[in-house]
Amino acid sequence: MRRTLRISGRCATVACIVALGSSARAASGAVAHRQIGGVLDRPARLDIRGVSLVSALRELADHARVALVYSPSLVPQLTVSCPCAGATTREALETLLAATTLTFREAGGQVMLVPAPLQRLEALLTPGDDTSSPQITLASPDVAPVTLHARALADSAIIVGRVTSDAGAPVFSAVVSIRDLRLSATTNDAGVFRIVVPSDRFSVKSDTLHVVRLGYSPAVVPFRLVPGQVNVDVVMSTAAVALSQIVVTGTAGNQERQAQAAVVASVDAVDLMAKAPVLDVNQLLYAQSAGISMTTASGTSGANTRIDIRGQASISLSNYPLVFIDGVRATAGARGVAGNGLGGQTLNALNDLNPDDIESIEVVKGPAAATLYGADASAGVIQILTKKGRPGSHQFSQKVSLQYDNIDPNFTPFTNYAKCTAALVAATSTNPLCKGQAVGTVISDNVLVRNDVFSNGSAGNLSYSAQGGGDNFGYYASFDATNESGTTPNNFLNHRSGRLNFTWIATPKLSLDASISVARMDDKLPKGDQDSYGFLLGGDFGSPASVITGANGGLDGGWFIGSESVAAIAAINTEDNTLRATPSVQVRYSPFSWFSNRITLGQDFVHTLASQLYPKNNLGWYSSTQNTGVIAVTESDANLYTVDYLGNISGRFGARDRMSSDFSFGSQWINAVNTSLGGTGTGLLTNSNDVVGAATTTTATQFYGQSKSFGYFGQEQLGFSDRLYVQLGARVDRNSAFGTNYGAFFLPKAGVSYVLSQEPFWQQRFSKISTFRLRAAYGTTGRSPSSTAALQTYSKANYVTDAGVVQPGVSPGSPGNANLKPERGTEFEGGFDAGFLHDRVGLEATYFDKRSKDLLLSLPIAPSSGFSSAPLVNIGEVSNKGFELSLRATAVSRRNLTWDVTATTNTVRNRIESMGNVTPFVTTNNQCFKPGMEVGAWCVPKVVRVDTVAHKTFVTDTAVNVGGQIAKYESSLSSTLTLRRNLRFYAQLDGKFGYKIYDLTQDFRDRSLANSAEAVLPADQGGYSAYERQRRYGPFFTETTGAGVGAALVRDPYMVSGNFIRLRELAVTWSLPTSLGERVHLAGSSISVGGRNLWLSTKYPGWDPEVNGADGLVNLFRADVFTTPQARRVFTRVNFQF
Amino acid sequence: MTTQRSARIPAAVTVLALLALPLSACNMDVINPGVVDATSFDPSSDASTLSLSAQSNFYKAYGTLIYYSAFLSGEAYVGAVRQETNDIGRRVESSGTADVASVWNPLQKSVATNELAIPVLLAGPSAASDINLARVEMNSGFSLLLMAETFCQGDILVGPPLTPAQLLDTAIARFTKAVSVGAAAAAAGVAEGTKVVNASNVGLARAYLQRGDNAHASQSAALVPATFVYNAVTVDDASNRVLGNLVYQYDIGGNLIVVPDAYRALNDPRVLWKDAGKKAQDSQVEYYQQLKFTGYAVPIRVASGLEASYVAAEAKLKTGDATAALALIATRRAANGQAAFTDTGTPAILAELMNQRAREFWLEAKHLGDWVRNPTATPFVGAPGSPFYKPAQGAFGTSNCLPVPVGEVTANPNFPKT
Repeated sequence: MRRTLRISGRCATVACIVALGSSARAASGAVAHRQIGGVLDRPARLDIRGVSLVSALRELADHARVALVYSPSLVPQLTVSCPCAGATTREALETLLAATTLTFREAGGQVMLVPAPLQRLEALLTPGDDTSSPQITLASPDVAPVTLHARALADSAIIVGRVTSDAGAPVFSAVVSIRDLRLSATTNDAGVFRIVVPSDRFSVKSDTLHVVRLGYSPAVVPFRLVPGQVNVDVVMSTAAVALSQIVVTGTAGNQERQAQAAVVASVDAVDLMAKAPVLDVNQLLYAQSAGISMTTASGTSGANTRIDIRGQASISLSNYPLVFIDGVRATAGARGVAGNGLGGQTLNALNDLNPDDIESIEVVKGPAAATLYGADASAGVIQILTKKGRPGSHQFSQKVSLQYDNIDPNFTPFTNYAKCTAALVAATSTNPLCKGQAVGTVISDNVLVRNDVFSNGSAGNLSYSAQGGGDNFGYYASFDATNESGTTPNNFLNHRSGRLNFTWIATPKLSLDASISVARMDDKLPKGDQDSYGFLLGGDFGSPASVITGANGGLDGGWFIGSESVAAIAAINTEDNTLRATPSVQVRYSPFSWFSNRITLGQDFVHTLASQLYPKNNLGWYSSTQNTGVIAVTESDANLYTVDYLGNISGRFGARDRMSSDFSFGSQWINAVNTSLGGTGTGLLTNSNDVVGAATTTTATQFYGQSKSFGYFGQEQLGFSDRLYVQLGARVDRNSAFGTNYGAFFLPKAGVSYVLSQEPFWQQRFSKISTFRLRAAYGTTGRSPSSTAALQTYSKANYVTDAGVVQPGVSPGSPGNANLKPERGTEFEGGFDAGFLHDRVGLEATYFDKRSKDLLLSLPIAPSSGFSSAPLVNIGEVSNKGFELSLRATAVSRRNLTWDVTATTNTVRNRIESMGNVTPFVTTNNQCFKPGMEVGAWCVPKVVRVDTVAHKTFVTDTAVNVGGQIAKYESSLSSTLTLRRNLRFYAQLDGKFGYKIYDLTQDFRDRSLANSAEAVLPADQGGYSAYERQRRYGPFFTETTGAGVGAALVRDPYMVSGNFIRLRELAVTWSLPTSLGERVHLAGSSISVGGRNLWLSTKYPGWDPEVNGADGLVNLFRADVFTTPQARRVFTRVNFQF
Repeated sequence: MTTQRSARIPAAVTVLALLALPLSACNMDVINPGVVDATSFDPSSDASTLSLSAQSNFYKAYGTLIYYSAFLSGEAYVGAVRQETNDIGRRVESSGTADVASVWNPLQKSVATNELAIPVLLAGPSAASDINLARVEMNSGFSLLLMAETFCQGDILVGPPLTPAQLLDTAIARFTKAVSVGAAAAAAGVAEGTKVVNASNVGLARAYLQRGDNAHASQSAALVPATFVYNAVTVDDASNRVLGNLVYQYDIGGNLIVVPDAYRALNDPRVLWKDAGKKAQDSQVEYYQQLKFTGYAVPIRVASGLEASYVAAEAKLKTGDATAALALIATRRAANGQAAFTDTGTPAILAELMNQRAREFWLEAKHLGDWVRNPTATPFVGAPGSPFYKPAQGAFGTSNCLPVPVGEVTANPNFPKT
């Protein structure tokens, strides 16, 4: 006999339910608080008799203010009574549902009515009836019907479905998992997923599908696991506040965001890659979270990007955050040989990674969250999580992406001016611009434009990835190739990378993730910034006075160095060839449900061959030595080894298991070994034989450096009613760089997180605020010095004998510091997360007070001491305080129109609190280090009066603070508008305010070279006014003593505001409609066009106030030193998914 | 069963890993062969290395000082684009001018390394005749002498500020010791001892002269053989450019040293130059290239019998005896194609003596000392307020010595802070 239970109704998934009561309406928006027991313990305040079950449930939802969600089709037509005025919601529900096949469960702050457990449901079916298949069909007008076919399709269960947003758009890259079975799948661009449960892995039962995706409330979907195909479609609600989201970074134990006391920013790399013009990893981090400040050194392709999180924590050490890739410490930051004269054009190791491989990036902003990362994490931590395979998906999906970028330099180099002298106008003059003119005639030349030096470049990218899995394994494999030609003749990037991630579920208790990524980067960068063989410096340092008539009758010359030319500069070949491999293994073992272990072993191996060739030439292009041919080669290895163990013991206790405990413990060992071997050869026979050994004269250098760190840590996290969490933890670290008199470093942490909105009273009193959490955290990390910083050293210093023989000699190096210890970064942060309008609007506010104590200061050492290196001493304190605000809103969410807006802003107030016994000082780079001032604030004699009559310019007697380099305010605004589910517009604006940049370009052109328009032209033709001319040129005298002051010290006129707003990204993406895509087997395919750096608003007089011309050379020096501005890129990208 | 067995293995692995990790952490030793740990070098047992290394620091300091001193004293125009260098050339530099530190730091390195070696070598078994000791005493003396002539103040080993006179006194003490130890070494058969003695006597003479002690200056100068020359040894070694002729290196590397109009007009074989036919680095002044130092291996004269004769002549002239000065002037003019000098007034003789010195020791860092000593008699120095040779930069300032750079003032606790 065929029996079919047909339940009519709108749907059967929790994401497509009827929600009752005001609180339920709020919940339907997306609140997804994990609150077992919390909601159900609320007073029912229900006293009904003889009403329909549907009415009773509605009454209960209203009176108890509980988000009660269910499918009406599941609710039988029953009349019920419940004298439950003094009962809890749980007790009331038990009473009301006693006569039904329904039960209830709490998930995400909601109470769901779900089908009864298996045995109760099976009782409705006819046992032994093997001639028919029981079928449950739950129809919905919005979502594809869910059909459960039992005993179909051999013996396996195949869970298939589609994940869509509440506006109906497909949700791609959502992770759909059956947690008990450790099976999972990822939705494709059409939102479709598929999980195969082998016959030996399941028994027929009710189960739960967990669906997570950044930016959405996690969805928990009950379904019945039976053999055959099971269709389960899922609707996810966008969530501006996602407290249930899992946070991986810096956490142990309960990893839900709501349990974390400190903010960890999550960047949805997959989403960004799909909608924004992103070609490298650094671009993924721009304007994604308040407090993360990105500064690209220049517009040169491949140029380094500086990352500062919550201000400048260190003076003498790097402020670059630590980077981990899937738990393995990775080489990061500037890479390259600065000595090759590349200036700010050094490369960035983060860009070795293929951004398409990244699932998400989590940024630990400061010590409050980074304690467990040990004594070197005070600048923050970036945890990169790569894409993984999906065991159980039995799916093989492939994605091919093609992108083409047009790179427009988007600036015009400055024109050089000069006045004709008598020699230049004479009949014998070789200068065609002046010859025959009157003495004093102003001539001009733009040597860079004349030679078309800066022209459009291009970038092409081919990316392929495959993802899938079998019964108990999953894999992700990718290959990426990027070729880029920059905007100058000798700027090329050629990147190839591959990754293989493999997941193996050995047993339900044991799993393994193994991965390896291999990347090959062959980059050519031009010399730039402060180098006289950089195009910009060579051209804009030039003079029309040196222009001559070329061989073809046109103009020639006009460069900074007379022998310079495009050919000469372009012939300098500066290459960086890097091979990078990052293997890792992570084993997870959970012998008991309450005890889990994780061991991570990994290595990041970076092998670089950097070279620079000045080709031999007989044209006098370079200096006399360089003209003979000079080849410099440095071969270096940077190895980072990670061994990491984490154990976790968790459990619940107390009345009704209201309390939870997560005790985590572990250890981490990091070994860093850096070696390099360099050689320089001078004098080549031919340029084709350009190896060091072939040169007439050769030299060699070698470096070896090693440092080790080891730390133990433990953390206890207590949860109360899954709404109040308290964390206490500590780490103890040792590091080989510490002085001999310093032992271990103790790093404590504490924090509390309280989800107030889950308290019973909240929705009664603050119903308009659907989610509200208070949090506060305190933590300590450090910043460790370099491996040899504690040692007293001699430097090698050769000497020459009277006979002219060079011998090895010595010279005092560093006095060292036996008491050296790491900087102690402590941070308090507190704030709240709030959700409004059913969590369609989320606000995250945080105040932070980060302090670096025991500050490592490179103690200025008197040259008369004889030592050449200043020792590091622990002294003083720097503070960084500020507010961070993030507002995320789904402004419109309709079937054919959604509009998401994210705005972030933050302030940073950096200040040197103390310098101990160190006398405040001003560096030769005009940076102040003085208590009460910002770190490295610009300090110069300030112009206080310009006396145009006496022709004197007065400046302050001493250098005074004229502004800081750290942006005090940063803001961003990004918006995504989706029309008809398939057409998406994305824009991102960001800006930095409250900082000054040193316009060294104009300083040099005005004063040292006197070739700028302002310097040469009369005031009525664009030159400086008499007042302005005198303000910049002097002569300068001190304000009170009247003593003369050198112009080199008076840089005040060139310390200018760098405030800017930039349209960073603009893109439009059209996705193939699902129906059409499925027809042609290209579901999820898309095409995007857009641009990057399309518009800039600033009063900065130079080309670009965002550059950092000396990046890679010094820790903090925001200057425009003939630095190439950021290019404008226009891209087209096509994604094929099949 | 399979599941149970699988579970046991990882459990064991876990336990082992837990045990192994702390054990591995016990070893925090690292190797850093890239640095010379102070504990691995014994200065007393390697006195020669210490002494010769310190001497090399003097050579480096001397080359650098010549370069900047030339700009300050008008021996050269600044061809550099650096504003800081131009400010020295214009004599408006101050304590914060970065290039002042570029002179001070290597000179102090020389003072410090030689001074630090003295007590180590004095403690040696044969200190009284140790050529290594004599050498560091001599080079410390020259370093202090140059500091006194170039800087408005100085200090030794993070000590208190010293006036030029105090620095000269210390230099005199060092030279005196060098003479005695050098003589003992020479007597013991060490050939270098004689060189040290002669060079130190030139140094003594120069220091006394600068100090105003003309009698002692004459006395010391008289001890130096006329043909004696003490050079800073340089090499043309691409891997050790810092051991080469730094004046040449500064110039050739960037077209920075421009022979001034006044020197070019001398038409004197002692002031060699050529028109390079191009602008200097700053694209403003014509690059008239010096030809005194034409290669990395060209030695730089530190002291000589010729200098001793000039010192003696000047010292005697200042005590009323013009004989030696006139004789020297006559000799040198004749040797270099100049007509005979006929003036007989002391000021004129002194001026001519200074003129001859300016030619003779051009680009040897002596002109600044001459100017300080004889401000009205020394030629080729731009007058304060007169136009600088780069008109856009204004006029010459008033300084005639470099201030102690801000780096020393800040870090030396003995210097008063403003």
